Amino acid sequence: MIFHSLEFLVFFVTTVTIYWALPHRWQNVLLLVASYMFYGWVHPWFLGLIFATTFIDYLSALGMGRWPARKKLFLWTSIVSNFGLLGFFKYFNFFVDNISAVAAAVGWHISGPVLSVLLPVGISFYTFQAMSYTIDVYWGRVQARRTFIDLALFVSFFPHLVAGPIMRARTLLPQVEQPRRFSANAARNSTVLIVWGLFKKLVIADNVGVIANKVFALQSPDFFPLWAGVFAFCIQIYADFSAYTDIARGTAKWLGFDLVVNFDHPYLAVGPADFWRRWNISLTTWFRDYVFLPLSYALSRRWDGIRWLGLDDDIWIYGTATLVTFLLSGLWHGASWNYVLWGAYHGVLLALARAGAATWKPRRSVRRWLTPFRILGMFALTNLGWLVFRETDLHTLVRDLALSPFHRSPFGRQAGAYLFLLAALYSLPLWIHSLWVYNRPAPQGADNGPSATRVDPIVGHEPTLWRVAAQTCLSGVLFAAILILRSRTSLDFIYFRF
Amino acid sequence: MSGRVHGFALWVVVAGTLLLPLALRPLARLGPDSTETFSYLPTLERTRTRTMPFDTVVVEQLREMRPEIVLIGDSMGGSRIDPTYFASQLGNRNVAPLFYNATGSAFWYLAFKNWVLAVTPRPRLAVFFFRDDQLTDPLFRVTGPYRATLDRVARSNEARLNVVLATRLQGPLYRLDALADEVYDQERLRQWLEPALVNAPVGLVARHKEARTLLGRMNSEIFCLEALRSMAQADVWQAEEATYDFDKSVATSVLPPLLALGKMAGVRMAFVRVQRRPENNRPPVQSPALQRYVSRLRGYLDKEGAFFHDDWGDPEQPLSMYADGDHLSSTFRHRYTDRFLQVNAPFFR
Repeated sequence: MIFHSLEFLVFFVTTVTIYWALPHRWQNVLLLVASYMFYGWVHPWFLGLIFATTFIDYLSALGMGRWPARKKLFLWTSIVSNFGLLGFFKYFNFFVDNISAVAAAVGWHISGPVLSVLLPVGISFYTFQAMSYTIDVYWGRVQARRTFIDLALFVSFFPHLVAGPIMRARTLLPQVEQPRRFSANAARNSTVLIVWGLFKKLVIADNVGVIANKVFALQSPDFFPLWAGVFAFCIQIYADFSAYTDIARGTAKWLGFDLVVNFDHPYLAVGPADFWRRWNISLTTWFRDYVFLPLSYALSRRWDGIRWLGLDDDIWIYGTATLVTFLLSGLWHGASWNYVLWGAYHGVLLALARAGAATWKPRRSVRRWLTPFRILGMFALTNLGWLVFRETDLHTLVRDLALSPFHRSPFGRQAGAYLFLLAALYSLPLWIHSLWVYNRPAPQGADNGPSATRVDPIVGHEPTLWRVAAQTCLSGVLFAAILILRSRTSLDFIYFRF
Repeated sequence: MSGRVHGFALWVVVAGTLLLPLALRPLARLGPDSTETFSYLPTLERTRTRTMPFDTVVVEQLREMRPEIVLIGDSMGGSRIDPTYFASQLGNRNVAPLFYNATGSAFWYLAFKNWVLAVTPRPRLAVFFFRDDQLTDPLFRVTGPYRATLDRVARSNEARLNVVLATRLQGPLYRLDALADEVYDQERLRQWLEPALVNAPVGLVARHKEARTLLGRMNSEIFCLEALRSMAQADVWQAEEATYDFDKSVATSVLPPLLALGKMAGVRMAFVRVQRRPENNRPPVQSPALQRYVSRLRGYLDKEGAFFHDDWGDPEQPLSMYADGDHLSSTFRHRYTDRFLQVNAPFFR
């Protein structure tokens, strides 16, 4: 089931209506049934996988509590089973293809088996979430849960099941276990958030997505149309993914849950590290906590005090851990080399930025003066990254990167400018929103999710007369815009395929 | 602040969200007046002037011919089968070819319903030629330049096809969408606002004279068919699983009503999946998703009592038989027809 469908509207309204009429325990049962229905709507066999993941992690965590001496064994059981499922469904063909290619390069001709099954939607998200639970139990940060229904709901909670945000056990499980109260204030704010999310998806992402799809369907696009297409994709992926998160957070709030903020206006980032503090925050922090930090600690024990090529140990440790983390993050996105390259590209950017920051420390006034240029520079680098991400054919990618603005067809520049302006026109509300929110401080009592960094004026707080009037107008105008400007081509959420 | 105030504020926002777009109704009347008639596919557009009238000549021709077999498809079928030769190989049975270039399953469904079944006695067999997932993609070639061809087979009201397109585009609750249009009248506004928005940047990048032709030139020079990647590459980014998800797409396709019509009229139905252009003289590579799709399609047609033939992987159809794209060279039409009848001999006996 997808958010921008009428069937979801009926499903959601029905669920919310019954939900608030039930006592807490039954609310969880209802949510679990609803979540499984949501997930298995088209392919019921997906439910077997999510149930297996949940059940194995449930038993592994309980085993860690019951037999502390064998904690590591239970942890590995969970990790191997989760990665096993993910590897089998997502990476099997990729590895077989690559092994065959390597073998062919050395003269052996192996024809490996081809797995002919559908990639279960959201598997990368829920396996990572489930794994974070067992790892946290292993580290003693979270207690193993005895109530299977609570854990199953933690793994499958429908608003964020398919494309995140990836929630941690210590944030979401207490919300599952504690009684929840309906908050009209939260419901009002979340209504605006949901409408804003639908607007971003149906009006912005789907319309600019058509431009990106057209350009990337070309065999050899000219320089200007290509980069207009990359710009369109850059807008599409942000509008699309952040729309999903907004709708997820909005629907969760109607049910009394707070999901973490996943995007913080990433295209206003001043550098690579800042970008990753703002983009897909829940996945970035997952990799930070479960890959980057453990790896950094392990490396720091081995490389303590080294100095190579004039650079201190901390730069080498940071660089290596970052690169490995981002290679894995790239691979998480898909079983294709361009994703690995994309991860490596961002890893290298981060390492270079860190090394640069260690050698050049401008004064605060200079930094402030440089801010707009840094934002523009980072935006350009991000676009370059999106080209790598979007172009799955490596030969075409090399050709695209080698394109020169000086070797263009006479008509190419005009067409590129038109496509760029059209994408910019559709994305205007996104830029206005980002610039409006930029640098707003988070006041006390922010009702914007546990990890909000700043308050979004779209979702205000106490219902003052002006705020309610502004929210009503905004929400009504956005809904009207959805009715008249939504794309006639409905595209799936991009992150569904990851 | 009291809970009642919070509750009231919530209802104000929800009601305002739903009521404010009612302003679209008077706004829609500010646009250019539309004198067009109601569309036979209101899901795609509320009003539309037909480019072509319904073609009654074909019905007359079929009535005169009284075909035993009708062959339906686009140029894929047309470049493969020589109908006269086909008829002679079957002992001079009456064979009517209904191959129309650049058509899709929506056209074939309407051609079968409005042309073939309009004639009595009904033919005994209808053979449909298609590529990959065309049978379950009702939106393929129904808009833009292809619409004029669809006009030729469409009556003034095509309710069943409209439902198929509506459920494909808007899901099973498409009636709610139609209701929204009744309430907000958004389609009328959309019809002039959408092109206005798409044309807005044109004036900024082209001089007045060029501006009028810019979009047309872009379509013919940059996004023309020859400039596109081969399907295999272009398909990679499309969610293949979604595109080739037979179970999901069959319910919102013309295939079930097409088979139902065939059963009702007592016409045997046969479906032939033609092979796309070979690569390196080997059958084109099929993604796992496509293989799965074809296998599900075969099972479905078997269950429905229809005949299915798949050309893919036929060693007798090498690259040398192909002209441009997936079309066969006209010199090989007899050879293909012979091969087709030979492989499917029990069926045509």
